[in-house]
Amino acid sequence: MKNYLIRRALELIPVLFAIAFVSFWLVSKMGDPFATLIINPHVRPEDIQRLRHIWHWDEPLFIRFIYWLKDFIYPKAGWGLSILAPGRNVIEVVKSRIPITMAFSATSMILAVVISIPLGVYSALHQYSISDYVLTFFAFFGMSMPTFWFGIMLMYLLAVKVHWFPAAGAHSAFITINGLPTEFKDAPAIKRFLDTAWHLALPIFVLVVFQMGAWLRYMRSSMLEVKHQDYVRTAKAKGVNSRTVTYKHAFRNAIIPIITLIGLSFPGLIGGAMITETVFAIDGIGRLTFKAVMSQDVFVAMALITIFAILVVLGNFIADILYAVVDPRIRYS
Amino acid sequence: MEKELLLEVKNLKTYFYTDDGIVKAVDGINLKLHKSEVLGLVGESGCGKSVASLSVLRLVDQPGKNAGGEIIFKGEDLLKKSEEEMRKIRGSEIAMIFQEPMTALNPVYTIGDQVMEAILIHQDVNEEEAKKKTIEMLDLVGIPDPKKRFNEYPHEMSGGMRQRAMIAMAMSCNPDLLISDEATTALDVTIQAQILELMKDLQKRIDTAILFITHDLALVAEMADTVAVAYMGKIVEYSSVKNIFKDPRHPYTYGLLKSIPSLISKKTKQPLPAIEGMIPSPYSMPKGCYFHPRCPFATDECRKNIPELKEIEPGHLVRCFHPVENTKGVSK
Repeated sequence: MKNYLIRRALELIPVLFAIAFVSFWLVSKMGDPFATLIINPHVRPEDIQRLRHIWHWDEPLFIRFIYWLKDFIYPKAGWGLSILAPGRNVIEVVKSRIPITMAFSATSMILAVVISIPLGVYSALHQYSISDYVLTFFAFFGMSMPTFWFGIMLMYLLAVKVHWFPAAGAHSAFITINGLPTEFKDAPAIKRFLDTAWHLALPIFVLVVFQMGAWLRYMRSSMLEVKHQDYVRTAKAKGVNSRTVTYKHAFRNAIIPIITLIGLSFPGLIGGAMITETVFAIDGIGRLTFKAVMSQDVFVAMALITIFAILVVLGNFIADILYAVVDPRIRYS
Repeated sequence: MEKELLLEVKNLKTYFYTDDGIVKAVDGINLKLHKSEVLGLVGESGCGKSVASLSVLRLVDQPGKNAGGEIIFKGEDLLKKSEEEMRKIRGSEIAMIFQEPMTALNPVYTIGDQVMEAILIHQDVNEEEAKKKTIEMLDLVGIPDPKKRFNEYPHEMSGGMRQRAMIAMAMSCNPDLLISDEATTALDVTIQAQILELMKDLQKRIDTAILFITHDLALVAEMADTVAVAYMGKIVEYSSVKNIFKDPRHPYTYGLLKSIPSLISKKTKQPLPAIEGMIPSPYSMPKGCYFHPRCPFATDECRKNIPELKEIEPGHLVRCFHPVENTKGVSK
């Protein structure tokens, strides 16, 4: 197992390298970041040439990639000619957006999984009962509703109409403390947390509803499949009570594919966050990605794509490890 | 001298209520099993023998349901017991071994855990004693190096070893009745012989009665004292093993025995006799005797009425209007 982990970890390096290169090539097709300068009357053609040279855009693709890689691993200030982060270190800008995205997408995923697993089990145990129909209908509803539409509807009803929640943003600019408006960054941690939670409630709810549908259905079908396995019958024939049959014998088997899926869905979090962050105007990496693509900011886009690639590969890696942990039949050697 | 009656199944009916209609998987079965006796229940696939055995433990899954009858076990009707009372009987007084040793054990728990679970449920012992007992049981069923095997998972064992572990699990609480549902079918012949030997040995040692379910007549001849032949959810012939093999009276039993290939028959050029046709669809059972479309002796009476299970000679029951006469020498 230990050897396997080391080998897998080492294998990640060429995989990441290859992904980064392919993305670099794709992003380079997005357009020339210096093209916008050509129409600027204040910029002389030789300045453009100089800039190209500084950023190695006059080199062949592969050489350019090597320079990029070096800068990615050892970021320097003012790296790249970013439109979204002019004159700033792109990686630092991207990094500063990660916590907020993680906060609400990880929360929504944990909530969705924690709520839907017991519901899925319940649904499977009471197959074709009224509660099963209600739950599967709800799951279907959650999965089929576009998040942007659902987000806008919630915003309209709960923020615009009744003012229960803020309509946009990740936190307030000012928090009232002792009747005085205080800047967010100066407020005490607990106040900042509560304010952020209040702001993120709607986007988290949107993502939870969307993800729950899928998890509930996965869990339900996995449990239904296991429910009729021979070993469940063996356990019953042994005199095991029905609670233990369900939770020890059936559930332990049914959860195996779900755990793998959790590892694999890890990178999907950010894809989902992209729409929700844009709708709710939260400055996380999802919204940054959207902006980077829309404004053809190759530097930011490339940094984001690489971070996503790392997430995908790590998600797979974690799924593999979890798989070996929960299923004794899988032993990597 | 008549032995003490352990299990009596009276007119047991288990029906499956499906969208396409009612399937009468078990349709009025009667069985009698005495203490430490082996009763063979024989029949082809789909005749309801597995459902009958699961019905005894009340483990038939939806949409299957009991539709009448009685299961008298040690003088009490199992169908009248509560689920909790039934749970206490399962595994302690009545244990069961299943057909597929590959799937009948839980893949995520060790063999030891699974055998020990039965002991912990039914016996008043602590974990340490249960573990000791489990290792003893694994040793008893002939699993080599039981201490090491205790911590192995089912996938690390062969089919034969798994079935031994299943037997250890079933026998761990010294049940009065062991139901073996095609327990050796999935194993190859040499392992099959070993497992049968083991079952016989344990049966004598623990004094357990066995309800031995199989489609293999040779196994019945080997194991059983009494034989019940099932066809489409009904018992068609019921007698001592000697009678069934030497003097089968129901045309179905007769056909089954005739279709066993013989090693010593000189007429090797002749095709093997077979029972013509297929078992009927459970959704459209034939009128009259269920066997009449395939029966060479069928008459108008067979097409109209369902025959009763009648005692044609002491201890020999046959469900047929025209029991086969002069069957001597059918079995080799």
